[in-house]
Amino acid sequence: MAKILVCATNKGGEGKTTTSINLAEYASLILKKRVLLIDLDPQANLSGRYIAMDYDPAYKSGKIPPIHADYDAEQDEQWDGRSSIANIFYGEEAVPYPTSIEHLELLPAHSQKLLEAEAVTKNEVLEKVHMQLKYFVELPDLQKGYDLVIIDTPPSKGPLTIAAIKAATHLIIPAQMEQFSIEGIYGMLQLWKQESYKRSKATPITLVGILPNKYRDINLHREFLEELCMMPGIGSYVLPNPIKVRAVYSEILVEGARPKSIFELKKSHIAREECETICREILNKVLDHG
Amino acid sequence: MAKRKSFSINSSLSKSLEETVQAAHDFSGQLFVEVIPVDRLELDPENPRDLHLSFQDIQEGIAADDPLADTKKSELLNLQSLSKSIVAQGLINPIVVYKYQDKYRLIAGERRTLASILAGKNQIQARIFEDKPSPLNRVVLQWMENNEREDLTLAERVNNIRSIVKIYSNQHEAHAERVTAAELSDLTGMSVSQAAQYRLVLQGTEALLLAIKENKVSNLDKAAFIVKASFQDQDALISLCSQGASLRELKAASHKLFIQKPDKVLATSKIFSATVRGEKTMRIILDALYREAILPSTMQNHTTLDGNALVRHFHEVLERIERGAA
Repeated sequence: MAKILVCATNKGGEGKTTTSINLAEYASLILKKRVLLIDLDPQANLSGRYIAMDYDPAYKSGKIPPIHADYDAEQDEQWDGRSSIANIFYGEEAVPYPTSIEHLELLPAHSQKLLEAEAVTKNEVLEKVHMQLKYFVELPDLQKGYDLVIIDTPPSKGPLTIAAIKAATHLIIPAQMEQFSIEGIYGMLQLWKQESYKRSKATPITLVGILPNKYRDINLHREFLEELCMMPGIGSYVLPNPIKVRAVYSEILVEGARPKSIFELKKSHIAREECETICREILNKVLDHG
Repeated sequence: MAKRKSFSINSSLSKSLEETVQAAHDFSGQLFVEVIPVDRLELDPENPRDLHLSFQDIQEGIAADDPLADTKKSELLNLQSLSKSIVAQGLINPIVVYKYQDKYRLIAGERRTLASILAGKNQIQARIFEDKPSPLNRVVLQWMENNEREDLTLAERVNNIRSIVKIYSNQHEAHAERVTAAELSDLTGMSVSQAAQYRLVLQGTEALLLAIKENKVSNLDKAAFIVKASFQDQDALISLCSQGASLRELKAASHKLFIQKPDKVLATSKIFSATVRGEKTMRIILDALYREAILPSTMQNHTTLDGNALVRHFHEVLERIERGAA
């Protein structure tokens, strides 16, 4: 069974996309696992890292995936050649894109279509959005084709995030050790709780942990982290190694940067060591258990 | 030297975080819905039943010599519309069961189960508990289940709430009328104001409760309004309600009833306009009235009353005196 790892928190800027990228690249480059990355965030930042997204001619700020390499205009009459994860909310097929990294494939975002899916009215939500991603990741072809699916979510608790949580086997919550971020953890734990109620014992949603991110050695971060670790019930879910603020994490995301991945840095590089420790810890929990 | 800054996560947030994780552990899987075969379902013999109709009656037909045949036939007729909707749309709310040996016993959803059998279904969606829930958990669960349904009558809802209040007050060794709206709200998840209305209705007169049972009063707001209306107006309001009067019309009528009263004494009475705080004063006055035989001894039941029931009795007594009917 492929594992479905969702990276989510309703607060923006916590590092959902960067965490998704690091986990996916560690799993494919280092562990040689077959990985599918899904970008559910209408901002499409994750997608842009792996494929050259086009600007949507209909919506100026929106992005759409490029024409797929497998597209053949003469044969594919029913397909316009672009494929995004948003397709599944419209009853259409979704065709993953290969990336420059071996074993890593991507289902990119489509800004406008995802925004529309996020905006469906209450009565339509369940049928049109909530369950679609779950059905999609349970497809036999997908289950056979990948060991791990990693889903990056928008910063909200809306239909897209809920759809991701319904599809998930594992959940990770990245968070800074700051006031609003801790409130974001609370919002995500609520969704996790509600989903846990509805799962059978055989198919639980496992909370891998809260990942302390963008950590600086200041009193605020240190004390919030210590306190979170001391809380009964919560402490065991806080991952022990925080990801620190480092310029290299941002530099690596720049277009044309060399090397392109943290895991192509020298083995002894402090950022690579830090990242490997954390990714190993998370993926051990995801791939080895349940 | 400047004092070192110190930071801490606020206590209500940290408490909420802990409670959320605890709840996720405690209740994980509890709302999981599975499909189970109808023939593995049975009623819980310890639970009071709403209907006389059995699974067998539907599967094999009601026996002609069944002493309850007429009642059962009318119950069967009442299940037709739910059964049709199950055929058309499937079951919207799953039933709730717990595992009992190799069977499942019903916690909530007797009508839904019977209607599903009637609809020819061999399987039914159910939430399954590993063990039988405690009596309080069971009635609260039934409430949560029922509350999501729109086809439930006010009488059924009031009965649910009465069961919750009864079991809760027994557990806490308190009088049923002492269960507060806030406690009821905590138990059921409904708003405090709605809980307060149910609480009022539970204390309604027999005539009102009968009217609710007969579906003459079918709306919570109207029922609560009638309870609050003065005692002698209630019959007229119930009758208006059964003729389909809206809440606004009831309010207007109540105002008129008040104006039309022949004796204006009520409005100017010194006793009635006095504010009596605390039960002690009311009891002293009531004791005196009965002792002096100003009131018939048949009315005397205030020694067993407390809370709102005592206040209502006190008002009723005063009104009788004002009307000269004592």
